[in-house]
Amino acid sequence: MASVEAADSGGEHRGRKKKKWMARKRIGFHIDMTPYVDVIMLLLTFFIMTTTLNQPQVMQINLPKGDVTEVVKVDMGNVVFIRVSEKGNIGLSKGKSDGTEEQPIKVNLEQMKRYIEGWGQQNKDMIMILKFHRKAKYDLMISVLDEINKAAIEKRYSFSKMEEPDLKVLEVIGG
Amino acid sequence: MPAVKKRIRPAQRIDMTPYVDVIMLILTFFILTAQFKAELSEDIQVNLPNSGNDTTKLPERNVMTLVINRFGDIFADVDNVKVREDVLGDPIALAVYHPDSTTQPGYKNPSNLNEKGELNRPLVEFNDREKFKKLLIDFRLSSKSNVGKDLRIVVKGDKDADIGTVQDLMEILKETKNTRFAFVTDLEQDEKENK
Repeated sequence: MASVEAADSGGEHRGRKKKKWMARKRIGFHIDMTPYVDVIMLLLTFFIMTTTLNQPQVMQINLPKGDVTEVVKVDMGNVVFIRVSEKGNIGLSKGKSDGTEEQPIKVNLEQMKRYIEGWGQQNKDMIMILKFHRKAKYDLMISVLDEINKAAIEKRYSFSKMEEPDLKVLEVIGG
Repeated sequence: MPAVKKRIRPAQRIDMTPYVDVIMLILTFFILTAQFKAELSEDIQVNLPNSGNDTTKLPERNVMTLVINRFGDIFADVDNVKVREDVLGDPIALAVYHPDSTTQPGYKNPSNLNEKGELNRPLVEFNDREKFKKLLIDFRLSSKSNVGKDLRIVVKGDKDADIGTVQDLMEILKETKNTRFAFVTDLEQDEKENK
């Protein structure tokens, strides 16, 4: 600014004027920060309002890569069946080596975790087979998977379709 | 009465610099952590189930979101506009497929989808399982050629969705060789907080 004014007022005074300006300037020099702070506060409010702190979590699932037709043979003695009925009852039963399985026990989520923890520690090769009724709720499926994930054992489970015999097994615990 | 003597104070200036510094820090923090609600499938309202110990966060970029609502409709969406335009022919379109023929699809009635009762995005219907499978493959291939990274898959299911639909979707994912995916859940809170 100063130089522009100086140029306007002609060449002769130029040097003197400039000197005067230089001397006058910057004694207790203050910028009013209020508008700046106002704008920053607005921005801050905007960002606080728009952030979503409650970020959803994810539960990682890995399905086996193998072909659908591929049949994996397992020892029935290592298998634990977890069946969930339409009503949301959970039936837990252990397989026997001769291909049959024990009577199912009706459990809640907490008991299920304790059972599979116990069995998993006895038998390191335990495999859980999850069978959900098609009409059961997804919420329950997540809860069951969650309990399995929480249990302090090696997590090996697979999803399997619920078929007629499974429904019969579930009838024992009240469908 | 003697007049109350007014002490005249000289105009005081408060140095705002430290204050501004702190505010700037807070501002920077919020700008950096801000995650704008992905405009993707937010249109479809779902109640996420809770789970206790999943520590993995939702991936932010390059995600294919598969939303299952309580009617058993599956909505497929990717976050990349180019990919959407490539595969669906519309940059904001949303694919929908209802796998279970024994139940009624809910997406035909927009008031089922969200509170507003309107959907801002056009729906592309898929009525055929094979076509839907092809769509998922197309999404992946297109994303690979457009972004150069593999698509990550997240499944957002409603609490009240039937497991059957989820199982159908898992089968489709398996058949299309998408064997890694994630279920989106909310962090478990106290029962009271949860209503």
